[in-house]
Amino acid sequence: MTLMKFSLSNAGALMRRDVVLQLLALAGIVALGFWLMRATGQGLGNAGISLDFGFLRSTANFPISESLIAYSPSDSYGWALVVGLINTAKVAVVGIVIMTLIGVPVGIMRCSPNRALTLFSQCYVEIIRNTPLLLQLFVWTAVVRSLPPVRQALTPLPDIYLSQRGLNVPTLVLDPALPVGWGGIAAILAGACALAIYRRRASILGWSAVVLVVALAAGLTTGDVTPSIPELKGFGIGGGGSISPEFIALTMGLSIYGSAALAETVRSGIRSVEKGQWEAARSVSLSTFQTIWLIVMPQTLRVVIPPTTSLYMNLIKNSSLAVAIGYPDIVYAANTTMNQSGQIVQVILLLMATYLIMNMMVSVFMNWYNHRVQLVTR
Amino acid sequence: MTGHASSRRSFIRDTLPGYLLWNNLITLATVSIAALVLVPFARWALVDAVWTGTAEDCRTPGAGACWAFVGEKMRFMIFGFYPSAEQWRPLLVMVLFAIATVTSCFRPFWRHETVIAWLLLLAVMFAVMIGGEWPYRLALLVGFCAIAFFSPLRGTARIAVSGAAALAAFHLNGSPSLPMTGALVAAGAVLMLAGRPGNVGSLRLLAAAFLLAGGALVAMASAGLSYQRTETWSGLPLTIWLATIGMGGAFPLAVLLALGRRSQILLVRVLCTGIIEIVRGVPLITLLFMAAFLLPILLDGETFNKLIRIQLILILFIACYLAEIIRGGLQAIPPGQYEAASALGLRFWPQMLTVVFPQVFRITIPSIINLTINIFKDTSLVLIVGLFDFLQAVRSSMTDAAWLGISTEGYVFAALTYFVFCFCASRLSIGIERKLGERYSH
Repeated sequence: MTLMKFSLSNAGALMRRDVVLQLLALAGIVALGFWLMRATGQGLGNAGISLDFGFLRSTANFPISESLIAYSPSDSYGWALVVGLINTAKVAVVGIVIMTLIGVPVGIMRCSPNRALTLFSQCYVEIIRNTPLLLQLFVWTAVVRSLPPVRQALTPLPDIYLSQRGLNVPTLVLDPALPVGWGGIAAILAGACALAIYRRRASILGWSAVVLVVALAAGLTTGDVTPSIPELKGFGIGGGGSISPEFIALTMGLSIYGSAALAETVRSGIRSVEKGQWEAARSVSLSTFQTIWLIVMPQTLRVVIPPTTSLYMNLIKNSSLAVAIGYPDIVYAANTTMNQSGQIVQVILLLMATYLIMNMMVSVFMNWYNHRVQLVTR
Repeated sequence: MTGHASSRRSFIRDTLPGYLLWNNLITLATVSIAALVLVPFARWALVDAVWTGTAEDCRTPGAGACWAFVGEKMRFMIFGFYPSAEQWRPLLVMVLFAIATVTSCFRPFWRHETVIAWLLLLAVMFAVMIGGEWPYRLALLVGFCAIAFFSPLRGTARIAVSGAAALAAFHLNGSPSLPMTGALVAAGAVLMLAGRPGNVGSLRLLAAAFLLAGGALVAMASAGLSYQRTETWSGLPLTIWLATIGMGGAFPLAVLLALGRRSQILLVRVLCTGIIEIVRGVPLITLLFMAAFLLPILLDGETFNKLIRIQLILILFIACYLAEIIRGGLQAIPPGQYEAASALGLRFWPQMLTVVFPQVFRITIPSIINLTINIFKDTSLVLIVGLFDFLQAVRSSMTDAAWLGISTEGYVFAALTYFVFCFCASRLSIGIERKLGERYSH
């Protein structure tokens, strides 16, 4: 760690001029800060707003159309913001997974020697990347709205209904008396995932999945776990789990937009692997698929992780566009809270802090993962 | 590039087994999937389409895309709320912008003077859009700047005179006086002859630019354009305006932030890092909300023009992303360059301006153009805070009761427009990359 330089000149000698200048600059910034806070205080005082967070306990009085946890308009503003945050996290996780599942194959397709495949993926990437995300979200919303009404819902697979009201799928319902609910199971699976990455052993995840399936099967036989099948009842669909149309539109729009950028990143990563690697793989008679999976992709990962981190963070930030299509994410909750309670400064601060924390978490995880896959050199 | 690809193809063809069979199967599968999507689309968009007519013609069974809707609504989609009689003004602005952009793509125009020409052009474009008193004020400003620029004054004196002239020009009130304005602009040109030695060719170019701009402004002032409030600026010109001023205004700030982040002075470094990381970590929507709702409160109920507020926050947003790109470029310059410049006795700013930044921009131009494309698309977000940009104009036109139910054609038109702009810009980036000879792939 080099010494901090306080001298402004290249010669390096600390002169009185440097000290005085920097002290003046510091004084100027502090003064500016004080003036800004006074102006803010005055402005807020005149508008009748006080800078405290007590309003988070008052009743929200606005509905949120979907939430993973129980919410009603009689809950507090703070709870509404938490529900919004969970909705954003839901979109972020599902979006990142789908984006990776689509983006990586398309990126590999871009590097294929087959001209048709290259052209196809190039058109896909160019069309997606050269149109605004908001426009694509509006298009997806229009697509989802043009699905048939509930009475004539599509059934791509038996017991799965796709209609204007969203996607209805069969789910398993856990008896409330059981020690762990779906939240607990998700937490245990997340822990197993983390352990598997830390220990570099995919079998940990495999075994946890096996244990989970066996437990659910046992629950099915004893009656603690019951399947819930959606079926057409009257004017709607009863039973089963439902995924709202706004969630579908937002997730598909975000994932497809992100997958195009990810495809370009993956393509540059694959091209950065030397031709000698392909030749060496051929000389030990690996097939194309094996070459890509065992030789090329691990090396690509090293190159691709930093830009992919920023792409994932872009997806999280882009999820804020949900407010334009009616999905109740944290920006929607914050916006409504702001308008109803009038506490603009605090809500905006909370909103910005939330996004900064989410981005920091993704960044920390990816930096750690990046460190893990780096080449160990002297 | 082509050579590499074909040698890679032949290498794989010679070495991987079963190549031809798989290759043909994949080609067949890809082509059939593409045909499955493209053929119905082509039939809807071209064969069955209704090109002219009314809404009834579009509703006939078996009709495809209703391009008549786009034709009817095109003026509204492009120009928004700008009054119909004055729509030649935004059209002129867009044409000037297109000409300037295309001209700037050619190598002979890659010089300092182009920047000054662009600034003059932006002044003219602003005067055309807004009308009213502004052509007169800007003509005075251009005249005074010409005097200051071409005068024999040097250094601080010249900057002081230009600054004072600018302030004076903005506070001058009174009826436009053509003779005075004309005299000022002419004086500027005359002083050019008595001006400093140097590259006579570039001085002539600049004098021509000043004269053209000044002359255009004088002509507008005498013709008397009607004043159009910024609330009527909408549609495609607004999108272009936001993106252009955003990128242009962000450059100085981005340079300062990038240099500040690399500074060895702790205070400056912490401040710049903080600003960059916070602005980059939050979505653009939160910043727009801040500008639209928070700023009026902070300024104690006084709001200034919404367009200016949004523009300023957009400049801050762009500057932080641009600062990261420039910082990457600064890091790529070998330390020897900085040391050699110091050894020659160059102080900090001359070092930066003459040695470092020419190299930085050569490296980072593809990334900067990439950022420009993204910003152009991101301007569509301003519709959430109430500015009426191109996407919002298209969406509004779809709510017309006479053309109810016809929405896809509007989205296709909007997508096509954005696609044309962004695709051309990305091709430009690839072309520049090739010309500069730097292999900076992202």
